[in-house]
Amino acid sequence: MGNDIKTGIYLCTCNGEIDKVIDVDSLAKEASEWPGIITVHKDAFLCSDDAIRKVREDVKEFGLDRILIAACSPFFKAEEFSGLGINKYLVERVNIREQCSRVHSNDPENATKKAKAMLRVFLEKVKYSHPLQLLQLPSLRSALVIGGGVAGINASIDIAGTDNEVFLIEKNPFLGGRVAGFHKYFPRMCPPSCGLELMFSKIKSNPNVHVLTSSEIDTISGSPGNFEVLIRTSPRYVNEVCVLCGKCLEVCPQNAVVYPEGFSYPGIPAINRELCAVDCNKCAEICPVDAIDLDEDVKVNNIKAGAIVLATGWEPFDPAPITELGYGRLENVVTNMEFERIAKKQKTFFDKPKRVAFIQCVGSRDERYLSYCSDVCCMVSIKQALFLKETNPDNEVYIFYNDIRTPGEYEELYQKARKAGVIFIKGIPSELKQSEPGKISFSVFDTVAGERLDITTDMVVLATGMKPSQGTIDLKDKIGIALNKNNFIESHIQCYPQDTQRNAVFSAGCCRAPMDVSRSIESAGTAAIKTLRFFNNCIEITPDNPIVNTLKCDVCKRCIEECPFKAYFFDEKGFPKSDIMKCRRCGVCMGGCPLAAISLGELSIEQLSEMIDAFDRAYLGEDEPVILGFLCKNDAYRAVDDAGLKGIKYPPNFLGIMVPCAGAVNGAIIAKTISAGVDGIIVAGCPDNQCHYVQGSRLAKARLTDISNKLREMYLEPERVRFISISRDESERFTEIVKEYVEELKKMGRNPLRI
Amino acid sequence: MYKFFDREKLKYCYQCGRCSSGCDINRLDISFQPHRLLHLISMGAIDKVLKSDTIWKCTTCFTCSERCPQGIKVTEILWTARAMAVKSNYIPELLITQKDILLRTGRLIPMDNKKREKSGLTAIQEEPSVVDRIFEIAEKEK
Repeated sequence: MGNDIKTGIYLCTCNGEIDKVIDVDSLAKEASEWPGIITVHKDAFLCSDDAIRKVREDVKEFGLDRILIAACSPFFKAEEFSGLGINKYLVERVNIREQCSRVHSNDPENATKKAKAMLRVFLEKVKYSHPLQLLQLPSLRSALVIGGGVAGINASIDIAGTDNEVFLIEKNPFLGGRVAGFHKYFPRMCPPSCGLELMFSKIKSNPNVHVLTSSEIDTISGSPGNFEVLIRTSPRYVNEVCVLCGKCLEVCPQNAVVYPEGFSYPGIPAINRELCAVDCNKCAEICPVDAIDLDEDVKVNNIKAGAIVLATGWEPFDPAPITELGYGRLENVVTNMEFERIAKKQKTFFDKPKRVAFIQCVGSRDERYLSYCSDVCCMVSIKQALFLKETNPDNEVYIFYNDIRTPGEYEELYQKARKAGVIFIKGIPSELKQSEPGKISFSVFDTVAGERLDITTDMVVLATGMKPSQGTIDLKDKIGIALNKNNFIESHIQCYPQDTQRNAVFSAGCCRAPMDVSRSIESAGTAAIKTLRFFNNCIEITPDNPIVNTLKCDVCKRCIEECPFKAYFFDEKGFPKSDIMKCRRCGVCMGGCPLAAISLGELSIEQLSEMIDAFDRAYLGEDEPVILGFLCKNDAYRAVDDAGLKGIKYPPNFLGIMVPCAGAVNGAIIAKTISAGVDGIIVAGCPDNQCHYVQGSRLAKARLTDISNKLREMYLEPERVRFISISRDESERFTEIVKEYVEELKKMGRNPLRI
Repeated sequence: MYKFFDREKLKYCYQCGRCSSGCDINRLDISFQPHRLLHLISMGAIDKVLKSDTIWKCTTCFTCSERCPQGIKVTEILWTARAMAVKSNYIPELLITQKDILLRTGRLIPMDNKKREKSGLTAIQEEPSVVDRIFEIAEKEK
């Protein structure tokens, strides 16, 4: 690429906003003398229709290949400057307003010098840019929903309702998940049969939903829009011919027939062959309609889906390891899930008035077991306490708690329980004992009263929490999602709670965090809506994902390791390649590549390198230090822009370049910048836990520390390279940092490599 | 030793009261409430804790440390509090008497030959140098 490229430079004065500080005329005059510049034009409102028309005419008249626009921040007027009659990737913006004129208005001379240096740097960037065209990739109009609990069912109904196909996979023989086992669920105290039955009828009536019970995921391959999934379906041994006569249930000697409850779906029994006696064929023999086939085989189905919703749910925490509570050892010490079953099936237990104690936070908020709050246990205990009071007002109910957490409108439940006469005691028993058969006695310190309480109860209910299901953990590697430290699905919990770290894979319900039924249904709806954009028959996408230069690559696999979205795979020649659909264009691979062999479509290593070559490190004169900043697109660049909008001054010694993520800055680029004689380098990323690309900021920090150490070994000042975390709203802090850094660099003296 | 007194870690205490519930001393003497002592320390009222005689009631059975959901080492904290109390010269009267007896006789409960006689036991000759000998041995072992 040489000087035969025809570039047009367009300078905006922003109606005095820019040219009252920067001498735009001299800028234009000088720029017109640079090689390859066909036209330089100055306008008061470059974003106006007239000015845009003029640029479009110029493109036709001069046959321009590249356009450089020196005006406001690229985050403004992006729409206007994208339709200039040439590929938008060949248009580059130079931010001479927010990052020059507005912040250096007290120093017009140096502001003009900086603007010139900026223009020169970004001219190189645009010169080495490549045009990119939108690609259209086929996409299937079907979704895979994993998990047939309340979240999975609702996600399926919502997706199917938009006329897209859904495959709903459930591990158990029946749908309904944990909710099916409840007696009632809060806050309205409906029996699950009511809610679930309605959901099942919606599934039954919608031909778009395909339910696969007793099924598990074998493998998942492919990418967003085109997942290929292998599903292994265990035999049910009973087919749809079944008329529910119940004879199999009667003859089975081993209780191996799992019979559907009134509202279960599917409404036919299943046989648990693990319990079957050898060579027993009694059920098949007695079946009047020949619905039972005990020789049925495992089926493997291959289905295709455009998007995936994970609704793998939760498991109740097993309190047995907390030995002092005696669960499993003492009679009538039960978990809250077991209490649901007792409430549902053994109501006779409460015929006579009983004294029942609930112990909250068993296993939850405990560093040794579940370090989080399980979200629902307070409401569950209150619900069960209310059930006891309603069954028999003479039942004595105690709830021993740390903190009662009944957020939002659930406070009403708490009030109701208090009114019903449930006794709340702040203090947790430490040890349970069996005083006489069937009775549990314990001693507890009431921390509010400052008194010790000895109590004997008929039953103790341990309010155990939720832990992530084994299914979630098993799917982790099959799909390539990340789990957090508690083994729930990792996501950007604040802005994109339902998105996993993989494109087109979403989470619904308790596999992401403990939540109650209503929040599960909400999250299922959100996940369902998120899948819809993959169902357009085609997905439009720009191929600006990173490209590996296979001439340089030595297959060290660092990009594969460090990619936050697991987007890399090996191509047919054995080189790493990024999947266009999985990649989110953060450039962490580009920053990490030890051979600098990876380039993003929007910002290549070549471009960065040419920009540094063109950077005039003496733009403010020989004695002034210069700082080159690599600013992360999401936070740091916007914070620096904010300084411009607010007009907070900082020295013109700083010049910023936008990068997609701090993690995209390669060590080779830093080394080049240092050896080019730049005095100071700032790489600015998000605060660690706010990084939009999970680990970009953290990796950048680690890499810069390495470079600092190398500088020390070379007897250069390690402080010449600096990583800073800047949050979106920290523009003041940024200007302070620049001011300090300039002073520090002045004391440090010139970069010895500056010739 | 003072590492157990780390107030940062103490801030994790959410006053569930499991320590006091399971405490055998609390069963006998309601004034000994580990959760309350933790609260006072984390609030910065360390002096109040050191001056109180309750910290001396702990038998260091470690039940509280074992059952604390936040992994706070309650017993160790009380231990440290005792050491700090001694350094600040807050020692209960009774303990000073006990210390003196121990230094004088080498025993916590002094010999009483009259009582032994009553129970039909032979008198034991007090060996006055026993404490010195213990210190001698301790010095050697150092």
